[in-house]
Amino acid sequence: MTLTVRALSVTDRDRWRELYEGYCDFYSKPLSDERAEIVFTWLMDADHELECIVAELDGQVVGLAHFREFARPIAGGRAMFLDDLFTAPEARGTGAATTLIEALREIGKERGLVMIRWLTADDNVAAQRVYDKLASKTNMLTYDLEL
Amino acid sequence: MAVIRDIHPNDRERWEALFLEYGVFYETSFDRTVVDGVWAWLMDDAAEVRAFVAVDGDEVIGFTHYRPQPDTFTAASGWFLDDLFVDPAARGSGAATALIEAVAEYATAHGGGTLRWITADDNERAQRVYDRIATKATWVTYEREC
Repeated sequence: MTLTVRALSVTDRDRWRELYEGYCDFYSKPLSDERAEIVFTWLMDADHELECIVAELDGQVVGLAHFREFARPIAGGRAMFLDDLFTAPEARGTGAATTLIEALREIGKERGLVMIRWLTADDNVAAQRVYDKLASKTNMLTYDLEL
Repeated sequence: MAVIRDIHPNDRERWEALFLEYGVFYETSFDRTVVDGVWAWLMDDAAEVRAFVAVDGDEVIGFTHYRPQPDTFTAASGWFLDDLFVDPAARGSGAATALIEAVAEYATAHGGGTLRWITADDNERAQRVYDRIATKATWVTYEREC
């Protein structure tokens, strides 16, 4: 079993959709055709800030990470936000999520970014077990104002 | 009552004083490069970060930094408020609420979506303000240095 990471390609579209659908279902935010089309277009657009890397296990795409850079005034530099991370259920426990986050860290280093930030649901215990080994859980609370 | 407006080149001195004080609150001391770099962002229309200031009379008493961000859950626009600070001498004047409302108004006029921000779980004073105007979410935030 060999895990590799590479940038999303236009030919990954169907598999990307399957995986992203799994992610959206997990968060009870069903993926409409329209939303899938817009997000995939963002990912393929070099001028759009959102990017995607995928993890391959023996040639099959089993995970995805959507990420982007953001300006972080308090650090006087740029950082990375990991918006979405998903591993196919059949590939859980293979280290795909960890490999994706490590790859993002490498990308961040190359680009001179100060840190990576991401969120997860407070009841997503499985994800937190993985993340606790890789990162620090902050004491930050999130506020949302729906406009 | 504070008036909210876009930050202006003439605000540099007061913005810097407040930004440094904000850094002290978060136990962060900014070197000259950071202060100059952030100010350059704020003065650059092409940079993603924007700022509003709260003004009482002639005096800038608070600021907020905010920026647009894509929201993959809605495939539409979203917003993030990075920093908010009000001069301790002007606390309780409603300046913080007015700053957030100004960002909300700007964001609504530029695509809307969700305006999000974070605060430390022990910053009860801030939470008292935020709990009146926004919804506390249940996300856990992770951070890792690159």
